[in-house]
Amino acid sequence: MRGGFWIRAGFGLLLWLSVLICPAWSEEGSRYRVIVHSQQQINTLNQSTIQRLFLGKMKRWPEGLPVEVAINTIEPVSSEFCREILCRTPNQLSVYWRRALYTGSAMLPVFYNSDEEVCAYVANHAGAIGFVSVACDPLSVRTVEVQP
Amino acid sequence: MNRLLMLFAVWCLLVLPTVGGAVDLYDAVQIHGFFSQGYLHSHNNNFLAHSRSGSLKFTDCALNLNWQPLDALRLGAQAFYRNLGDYNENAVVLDWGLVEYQPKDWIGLRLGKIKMPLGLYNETRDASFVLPMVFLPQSIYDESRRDLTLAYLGAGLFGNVALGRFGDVDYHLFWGESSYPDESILQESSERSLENTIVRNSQLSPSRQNPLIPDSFSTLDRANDKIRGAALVWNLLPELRFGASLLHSESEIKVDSDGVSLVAVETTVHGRYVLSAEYHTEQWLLAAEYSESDRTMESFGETALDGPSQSWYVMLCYFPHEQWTISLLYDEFYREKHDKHSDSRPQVRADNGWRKDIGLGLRYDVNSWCNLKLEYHYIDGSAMQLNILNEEDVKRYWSYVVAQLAVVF
Repeated sequence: MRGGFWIRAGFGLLLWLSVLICPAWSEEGSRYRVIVHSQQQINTLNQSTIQRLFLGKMKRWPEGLPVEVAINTIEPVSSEFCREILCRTPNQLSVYWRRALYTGSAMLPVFYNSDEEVCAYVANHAGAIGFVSVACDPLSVRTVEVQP
Repeated sequence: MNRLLMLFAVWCLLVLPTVGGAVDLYDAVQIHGFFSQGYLHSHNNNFLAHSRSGSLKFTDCALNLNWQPLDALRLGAQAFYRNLGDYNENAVVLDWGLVEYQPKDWIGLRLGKIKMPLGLYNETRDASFVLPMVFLPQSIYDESRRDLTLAYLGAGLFGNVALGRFGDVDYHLFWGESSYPDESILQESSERSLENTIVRNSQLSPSRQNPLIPDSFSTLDRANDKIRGAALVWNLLPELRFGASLLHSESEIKVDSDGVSLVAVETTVHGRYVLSAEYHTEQWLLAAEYSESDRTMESFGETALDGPSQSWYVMLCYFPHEQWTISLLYDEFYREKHDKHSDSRPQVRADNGWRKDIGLGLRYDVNSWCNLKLEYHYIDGSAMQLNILNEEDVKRYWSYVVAQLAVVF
């Protein structure tokens, strides 16, 4: 009986907390830009799709090109992007990927500590996606609009 | 199993020649690893090691290699060394090693030795760096019997299915055998149990003795368990996920007595299921899992166990700062769900039927590749203890402290 109570209490608390979902994303005031390779015919991506891309769940673009993720660790853009779009902290994102790596589920995406490196990576990989705080060369990457 | 190995070999022979020279090794190959060193100190009972006097025999080390020669194809393996008390693997073992082919996000195939999905965390049990506490909750992720659920040798189908505004679902179906090393501590434990059974049987009056139990045995052999199972994780929101996993297994222990091979123990887990829920925010993580394992165990023709066990826990983690994690755990296990106080087994102590664990943990992330953990557990109940670690009577109330340093690269 006592075990049953705790189970119900635990799941009840979980459901109660579930109303506190990730705050709605707002483009206004955001200091990051989501970028893809210039040849990608994509102008907008919604938040859910970006989450699936950066968490390795969507491994191919609609036309079949493999997705290559570049994660920018420079602050404050990293915290802002991770919190607003991925609903987790940069540390939680890092743990997510390390968990996949050490359990044999996936390889790590590339991690860079500068906007320039992320711009260069995306420019040189047709299926790449990343985020930066500055404008990259518009001839080599395309900035996509993030939609809720 | 031989067919699976043959399929694996054929797969390699077909695939490897096609990957030719046009491989950018810098992008396609990754090498990573981790190392951890822990210290265990327990009071009243030994836990995993001879820990009552303190034990530094708690070292883990792993090195993995992944190679993605084609977009849909990945080959990977992880070598693992563990020195944990008497759980000394005594060698570098293959933790996982697989060929993965995933032509679509929603469908993929893995062949080889693959981490077993059971609950939300079973696959991560050796990667302590990514866990909030040193050990996973023991009621569901029993470390003393880790060989039974660590990995499977076989084939798995997996994928991720997008559900629009209802999130997405990860699934994993698998068939094969558990990877059960001959030097496993469970082998030694089985031998000790059998010796005790023989002694107890010989002490009974002739009319009450089980004639199927031999007077002695020369060797004991536990074959790999045949297993099949499925796991689903529904990621309803980025912060909220629910899981359900199911496992079926069959195992057999044979003994050789005077040149005659006898089936000593047959265990069938008709269904072990785990229901899971996890919710996290920037500052909180709440996880709860509930599990039952409906199993039948026959020992020399007599039913030794028939019915479900019950396990559940709630773990709450608070992150006051990105570098600090404070964890609180309550964890319960009952050997028999419908006989929690062992009323039907008056020959054993009641507290042998349960294990209730309250744990408090502290984790400090020194940087992105190093963390320190310190935790304390107070336990009521002597269930789940292996006989070889506690020669004397197992105490009902006991506790342990564990500290660990982990690094990754």
